[in-house]
Amino acid sequence: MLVHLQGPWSPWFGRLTLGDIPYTNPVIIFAFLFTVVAGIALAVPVLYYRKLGYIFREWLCSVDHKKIGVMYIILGLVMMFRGFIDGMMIRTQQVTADGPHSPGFLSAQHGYLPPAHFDQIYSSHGTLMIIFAVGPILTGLGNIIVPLQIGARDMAFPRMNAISLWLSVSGAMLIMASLFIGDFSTAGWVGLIPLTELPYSPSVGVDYWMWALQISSIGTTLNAINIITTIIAMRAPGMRWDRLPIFTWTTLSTNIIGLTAFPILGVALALLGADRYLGTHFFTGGQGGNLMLYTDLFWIWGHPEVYFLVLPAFGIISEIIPTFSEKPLFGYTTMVAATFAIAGVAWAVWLHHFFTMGAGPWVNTFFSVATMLVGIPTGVKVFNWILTMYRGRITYTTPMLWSVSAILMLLIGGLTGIMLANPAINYTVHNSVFVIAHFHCMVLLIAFAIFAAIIYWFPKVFGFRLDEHSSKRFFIFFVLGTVTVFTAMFALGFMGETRRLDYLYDPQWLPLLIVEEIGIVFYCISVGYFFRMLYVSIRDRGRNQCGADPWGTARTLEFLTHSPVPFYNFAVTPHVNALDELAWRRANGHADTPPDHYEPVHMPNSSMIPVIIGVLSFGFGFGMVWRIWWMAGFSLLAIIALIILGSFMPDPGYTISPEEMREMEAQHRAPGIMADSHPPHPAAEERLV
Amino acid sequence: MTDAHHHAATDPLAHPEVQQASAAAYISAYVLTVGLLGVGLFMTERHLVTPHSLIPVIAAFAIFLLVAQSLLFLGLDVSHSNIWKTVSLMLTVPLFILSIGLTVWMFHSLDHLVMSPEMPGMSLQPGTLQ
Ligand code: HEM
Ligand SMILES: [Cu+2]
Repeated sequence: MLVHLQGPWSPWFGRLTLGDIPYTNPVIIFAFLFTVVAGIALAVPVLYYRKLGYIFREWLCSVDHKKIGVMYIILGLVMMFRGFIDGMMIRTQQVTADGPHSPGFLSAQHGYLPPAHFDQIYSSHGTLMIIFAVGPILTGLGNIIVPLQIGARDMAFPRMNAISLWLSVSGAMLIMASLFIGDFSTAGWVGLIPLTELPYSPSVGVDYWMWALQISSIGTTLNAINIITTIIAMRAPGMRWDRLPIFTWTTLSTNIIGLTAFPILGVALALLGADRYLGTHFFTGGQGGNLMLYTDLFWIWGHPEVYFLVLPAFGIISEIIPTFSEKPLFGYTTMVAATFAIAGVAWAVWLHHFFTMGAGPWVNTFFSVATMLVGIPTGVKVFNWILTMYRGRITYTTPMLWSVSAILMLLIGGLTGIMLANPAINYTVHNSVFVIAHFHCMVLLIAFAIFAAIIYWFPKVFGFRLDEHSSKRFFIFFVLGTVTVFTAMFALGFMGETRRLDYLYDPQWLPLLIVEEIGIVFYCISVGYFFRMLYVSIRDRGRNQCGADPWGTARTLEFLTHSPVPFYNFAVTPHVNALDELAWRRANGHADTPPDHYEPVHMPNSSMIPVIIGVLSFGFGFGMVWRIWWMAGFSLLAIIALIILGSFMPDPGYTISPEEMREMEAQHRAPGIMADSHPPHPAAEERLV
Repeated sequence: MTDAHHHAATDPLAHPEVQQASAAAYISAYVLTVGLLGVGLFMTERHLVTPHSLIPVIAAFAIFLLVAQSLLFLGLDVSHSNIWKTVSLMLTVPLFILSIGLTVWMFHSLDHLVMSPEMPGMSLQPGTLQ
């Protein structure tokens, strides 16, 4: 039944031998040292201040939606940093490997990376950035903000929320493991078929990619279920559908996409897995297989996935622009309609990723027209944002700067997308770096929105503002980098540079490649300012303390409760009177009326089960990758057993009495997100398991 | 949050849709599923019928199972506790038809263009392919 493999295999270690540890590769040794140093830098203060117990109890076992959100965002930022280093390496390889006379360093003939290594780097760059950086950060933001915006105490399924997080982490850890044990896929983030089939990729690289995606996408699906249920069932009284904040709307639509699209990725990867492990022929070139079927399935998920990422970004922009224009969002209803129109049409456009398959003029025309239709609701959004700013009282805080620039990126990305949607144009630039430049405008728009959101909501969660001075410099250099790299890349696309090249044959591309490398220098400077922003803000946190509404002009419910948000979110479940509730209360003089009475508040307990499931799913993935059957089997059985056991141990939660609540509120000692545990509940400690 | 809501939130067994579940329905759905999937697998493995008549037979099995499972496992109806399941189904069906339908269309068209012997390019350049 199992497919026959070349090379060694042993029952205890599967395919793993000492030779799979690439300890002779200088680049990887450097990466390893870097990771070790970073790990030590994190571990030393934790041990020194004896915070290990705190981190375990208060974070790893937490089911608090805010902490889970913060951990999602930290995961995403770390992965984004690694993805950025990959990107830097790709650019540097290309600029040093242009033309037949370009020199070779280390073991490479041209540039410093041999082809097989270069291919792994662009594959991990794309996979990391899309699945493990931008995705988790947006999920984290949704986790933090949505329950606050709708006046809920937590997500509908707090424990499942933690399981989603730890599944994403375990996927990310698989990719990290691939860096030092074995290798990674060379088939791109899309899994170019038939390259991912066993005969063409006999090593474990594709398996790492496949299982990392599979495991984390289960997490994403669970999270989608959770968010949708939360929005439907957990809204505060008065939070009618027509009062739902726009970020919540976009998160809802995005998670409907997530819930419906991710299973398709799961199926595509499972069938690929059947080919690689069981020797079936779903996607092989011959023997009844159909390799374009993989491409088809991948993009049925893949295109909705890109909208899965962009819709929350639209939501963020729609929250920030009104706040800093001191005006309500222009065209709330059309904005919601546009969001769902985009989400709906996103389901009928996927063939535009393989027009060149040659399905014929009618098919291509249909998908071309459908793709261009997306431009209409997107245009509606752009006009709504502009009309929101029109005659507004605009303050250019950094969140606003990021948001306005994001609109610009959307214009460039959207218009080049429409160009690509024309099959006649697409046939000439498909698989060129023009496509890369198009979608980087789009994903960078999302990154812009992410940075805007982090700066905008950071004070809400942590109680102090981020340093504006360094964050403006971070912004400026990041935008400079973006403009420099991708303007040159559009031009190179027109000059015929195809994507994923480890060696570039045309010396005429060199000047523009150098321009791109200069852009990378700007990016590096901006990363420096990002770290400086964190450092300065944490150092000066005492000076930058802020109240419930750090910006003074925020409009939505999450800015009603204290900053930092206490673990119970709202002392009293708010009653919602209007769209833009906070703005309404401010206008009517209710913004800081204290509640006249408190009610008992029911909260969920922490649990160790989710993080254990995360560790076990890593074990499962690792076992499958290396075909260590006992490890995979044991982990899978243990996961199933834990889930069954866990469901026999329902969480009764605990209750904060009105007196406790009154006391905490009166003394203003409601613990924020960093504080040590909430009111000591001995029972809660015992129930960790 | 009302007390009833509280109670439902802490005790999953008290949820109305859980209350509706019945062992008989679960077991019959399980037997049906295993049985029909098994017959389908058997027919395919043994090549009992020609591929052309196999596809409609298996498709019929699948559709029957879909309906049976949604009624017996999920208990789909429009009652208050189950309405969202039905709403999700109504959302899924168009997506299902859309993705499968468009896929069939594109591959049918592709097949016609690249595999048929009368493909325009084929007859013009016999030399390149022989
Ligand atoms: C008006 C909106 C858009 C249009 C018309 C559009 C159109 C296209 C087309 C036609 C392609 C295929 C190019 C080719 O491979 O030949 C493409 C690729 C791509 N687009 Fe877009 N797009 C739009 C929005 C977006 C958004 C919002 C995102 C992401 C958030 C995005 C991300 C991507 C990605 C990642 C690829 C390339 C995937 C790959 O091959 O690796 N696009 N787009
Ligand atoms: Cu697309």
